[in-house]
Amino acid sequence: MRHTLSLVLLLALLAVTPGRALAQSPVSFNTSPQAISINALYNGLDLTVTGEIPAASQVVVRLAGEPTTFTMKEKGKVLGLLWMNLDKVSFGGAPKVFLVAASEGVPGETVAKLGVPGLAERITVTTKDADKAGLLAEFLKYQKSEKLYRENAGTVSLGPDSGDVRTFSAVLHVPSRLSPGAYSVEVLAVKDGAVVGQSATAIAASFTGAPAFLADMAFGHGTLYGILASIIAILGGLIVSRIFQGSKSGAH
Amino acid sequence: MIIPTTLYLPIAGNSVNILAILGLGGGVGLLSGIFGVGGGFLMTPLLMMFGIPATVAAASDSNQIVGASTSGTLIHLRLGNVDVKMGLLLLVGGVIGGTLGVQLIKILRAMGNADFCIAITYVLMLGGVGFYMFFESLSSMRKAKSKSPSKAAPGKPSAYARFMASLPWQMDFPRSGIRQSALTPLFFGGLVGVLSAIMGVGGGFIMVPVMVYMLRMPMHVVVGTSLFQVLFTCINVTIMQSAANHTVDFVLALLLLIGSAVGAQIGARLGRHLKGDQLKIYLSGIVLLVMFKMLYELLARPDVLLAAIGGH
Repeated sequence: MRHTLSLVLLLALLAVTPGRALAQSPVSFNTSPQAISINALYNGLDLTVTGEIPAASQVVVRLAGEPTTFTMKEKGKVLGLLWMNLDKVSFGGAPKVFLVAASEGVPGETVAKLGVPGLAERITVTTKDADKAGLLAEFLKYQKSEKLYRENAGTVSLGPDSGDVRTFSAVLHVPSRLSPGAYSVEVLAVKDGAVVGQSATAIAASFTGAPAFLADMAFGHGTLYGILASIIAILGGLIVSRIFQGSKSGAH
Repeated sequence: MIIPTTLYLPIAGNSVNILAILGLGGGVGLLSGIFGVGGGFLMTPLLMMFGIPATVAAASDSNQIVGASTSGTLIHLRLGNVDVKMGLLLLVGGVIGGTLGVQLIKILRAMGNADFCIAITYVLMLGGVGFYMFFESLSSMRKAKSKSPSKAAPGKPSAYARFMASLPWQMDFPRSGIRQSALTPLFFGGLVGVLSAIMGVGGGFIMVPVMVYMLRMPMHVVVGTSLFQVLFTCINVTIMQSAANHTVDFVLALLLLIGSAVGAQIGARLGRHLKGDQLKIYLSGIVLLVMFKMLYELLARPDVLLAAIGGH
């Protein structure tokens, strides 16, 4: 229920973000896979987005997580010498993940508006510090260094015009550092620097298999999980000890 | 059939290279086995370099130290290197000190100075312990070279030794071959407990010098007894962190454990071939290296002027 609500809110937010959308032309697409399964062997994945956009237009593909509030610590100098964590600073309306890929021919300023710089305009900064712009720049740098915000996050190829439409195919590189939750894939058709059509679909990422079991134990039954983790660690130590004792039989 | 080399860690929220984590565990386990330190002060920053959040790195490391120190304690028990009586007294002191330390850190956090105090405590402790051990070992190695191997003439006992002898509740610790007041290990265990609660580590790297210089225990008994004490401290931390903060990544701990338990076994055997002074000088080198790294981080401008909340 909570996820469904998040998805609706996420899609509603994304629907109003592309700025000056002109008379909208039809955009349709499919994703593969349609849901992200985070199993024990998950190490990021390539999300393929294929579909149709209006003829003679280019395309921008985005993957965005739910907007959330990041509370972090600002680093500053103490006594003019030592760098320490100082005041708290919050960044509101920032998605956990934001990946953007554009086809060739999309003007740089349009890519910026639809990409990370455009996103930055919608993030609110709450701090005692006067330099909010500087802190926002640091936040974007932090998210990029963690590979969670990326432009050129994949490859996009366009097909030839076929009547009123043309096909496109994009591959977005989804990072390994992905938490379960609601994400949105959005396709924006761009012509002469303006968005002429768009469409979005929700994609859910969830734990499956061993990660699902472990996360359920760790977050739902913390004390029991801690006791079991200690017992297994002790048994592990005993087994290794026994193996080494066996290999050294009679050594001392 | 392709054997997977990466594994997703649900609590850390990232995937890791299995071989890299096994290697990391092995390297730190080796040091743990040789010197009797838990390795938390090394493992946590190294795990953070692999993309593991600081809180998950510290808590999961405590979990793996449970396994590694079980393995290390057993081998030292067999070698007769664990002073259980001394270890238990230090442990009682450590639990009392740890509880006081947690309260102290709460007060410091409320005052907003906790991070600064933690970093400064680290640099001062590591620097003090590292330099003292380094120069002390160096001078005793020089003496050993210049003098004949005959035993040093018994001199007048120092003021510290006389004070220690005057304390009540004197008892024998036959495994260490010393006579001490029960108050001494309780006091020093408590002191290390306070410091390790503030610094968020097991405290092995402070406990080892305390046993050597304050309790005057022989180096090889120190190593085994330290591992014995670290084992119980880390079981406590693992359960507390799992219950309160949900930051123990068991899969990560298990991978580290496989590497470190093997490393600790090799380390314990390797340590037997090193002399006490050699052990001390190598350990002081590692302690000083970490101290300089932390000092550099305090002085150099960070790449990003923001930090995720939760690290220490």
